[in-house]
Amino acid sequence: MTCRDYIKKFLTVHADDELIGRERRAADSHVAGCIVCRQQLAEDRRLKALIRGHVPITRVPADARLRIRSALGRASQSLDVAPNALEGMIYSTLRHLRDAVLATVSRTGPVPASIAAIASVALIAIITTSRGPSPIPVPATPAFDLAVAKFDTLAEDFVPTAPAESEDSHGAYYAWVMDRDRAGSGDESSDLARTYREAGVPEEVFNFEPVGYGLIGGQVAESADGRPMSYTMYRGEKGQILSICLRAPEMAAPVGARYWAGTHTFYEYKGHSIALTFYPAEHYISILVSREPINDLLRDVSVAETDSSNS
Amino acid sequence: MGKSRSSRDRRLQFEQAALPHLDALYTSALRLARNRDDAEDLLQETVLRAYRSFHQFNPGTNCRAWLLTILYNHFRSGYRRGWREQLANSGDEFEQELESLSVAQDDGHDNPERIVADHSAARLIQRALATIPEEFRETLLLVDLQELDYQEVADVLNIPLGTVKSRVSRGRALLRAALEKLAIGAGKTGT
Repeated sequence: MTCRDYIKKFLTVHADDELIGRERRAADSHVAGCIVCRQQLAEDRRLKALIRGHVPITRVPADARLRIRSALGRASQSLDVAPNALEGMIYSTLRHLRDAVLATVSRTGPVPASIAAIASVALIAIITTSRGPSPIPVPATPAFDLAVAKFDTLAEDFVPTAPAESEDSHGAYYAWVMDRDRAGSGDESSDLARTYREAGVPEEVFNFEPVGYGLIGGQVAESADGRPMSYTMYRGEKGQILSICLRAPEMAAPVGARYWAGTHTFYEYKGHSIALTFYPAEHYISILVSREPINDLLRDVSVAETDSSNS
Repeated sequence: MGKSRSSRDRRLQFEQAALPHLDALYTSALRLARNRDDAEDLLQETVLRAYRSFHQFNPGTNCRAWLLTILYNHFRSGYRRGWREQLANSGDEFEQELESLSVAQDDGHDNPERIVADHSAARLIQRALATIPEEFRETLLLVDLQELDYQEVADVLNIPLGTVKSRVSRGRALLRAALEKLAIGAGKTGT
C-alpha cells in the first residue's frame, strides 16, 4: 500500500474504525511502518476527539422534558385503547347508554308515543350495535367503490404521471418528483405536496415511513365531472396504501364504521380497509385504501403525519 | 389488567431505551429546526412517533441511530411548514446562538484556567464548524458527536454509504483548514 492509497482510500475510515478484516490489517500494517501516515491518522483522531470533547450535547430544558413525559403518558393511554380495546370501550359505552335509557323510561312511566318510538329505534340501534363484534354492513358507496377499483388497478404498477393538460412545466416537474422518489432522496413528500397545492387539490401526503411504507409518488387526474383529484401511492413490505383526494360535496359518512380516530373514520369494505376523512375546505374528502387488516391501517394512520395545508 | 400491565412494561422499556438519548436528539433537533420552540416540538413529535412504532425497534441495535432516523425523517417530511424557509434564511446568527447556548451549559468542574481553555477550544471548534457547508457539518457531527457508524449515518440522512465516507473525509479536511485559519486569526489578534 502506498501513502497515496492510504490517505485517499483508508485514512478517514481507519480513523473512524470502519475498516474490517484484510483492509484493517493492511491499514494497520501501513501506519506501523510509515510515520507520516501515522501522524495523519493521529491528527484525524485528534479532530474527532476535539468535536466529541468540545461540541457539547445540549440539555433539553426542564419544562420541555416535562411536556414530553406528559405527552408520552397521554400517548401511552391512547395506545392502550386502540384498536381492540377501543371496540370494547365503544360497546361498553353503548351498553351504559342503553341501560340509562331503560332506567329513564321505567322511572318516568308512560311516555308520549313519539318519544317512545324514538327511544325504541334508538334502543334497537344500540342493542344491534352492541350485540357483538360484527359491525353494521357498509352500504354500497360509490366513492368507496371507486377507491377499491383504483386500488386494485394501481396497486402493482402505479406510475406517477403529469396531469393530462400539462403543456406547462407540470410534466417536467412530475417526472422530477418521480425520479427523486426513486432515488430515495428524501424530500419527495413536500415536493409532492407542493405539486398538489399548485394543482388545487389538498396537499395530503402522509409519512408512512415509520410504519414501513415508502412514498411512490402521485398523480393528478380529473373526476368524471371535471374536478381535480389526486392519487398518492405508498408501498412497503406489507403491500400498498393508496390515498385518493376528491371533491365530494354530496358525500356523507356511510354507516358501518369500525373505528373513529381523530378526523378519520375506518371501514371494512369489499375486502379492503378504508380510512375516510372530510376536509373542511371546498368539500374535499380523502380515502385511504389498503388490503392490510383494518387494525393495521388504524395504527399506521395514527403514526403517520399528514402534510395537508387544508386541515 | 394484563393488557394494562403489558402497556406499562412497554412504556417502561421505551423510556429506558429512548430517554437517555433525549439530549442527543435535542442537539440535532436544534441544528435542524434552528430555534428552540421548533426544536422542542420536533423532539416531542419524534419521541411520540418512536413510542408508537417502538415494536419496530430491534433490541440490540443502536437506539440513538433509530431515534435520529425518525427525527430526520420527520423533519424532512416538512412537519412544520416554514422550517425549510427558516433554514434558507438563517445563517451565522443561529450558529452563534447555538454556540453560546452550548458553551453556557458546559459544566466543567475543573479549575478556572481549564474552564477558560475549554471554552476557547469549544468556541474555536464551533466557529470552524460554522464555516463549513451544512452537509459536511451534519455528517461529521453524526459521526463524531453522535457517534453513529457510517451505515447508521447513511440511514439517518437517507444517502448512500459512499457519500457518507466522502462527506466525512472532505468535512474533516475543510474543518482542519478552518481551524488553522481561525487559529492564525486568533494569534494575530492576541486572543
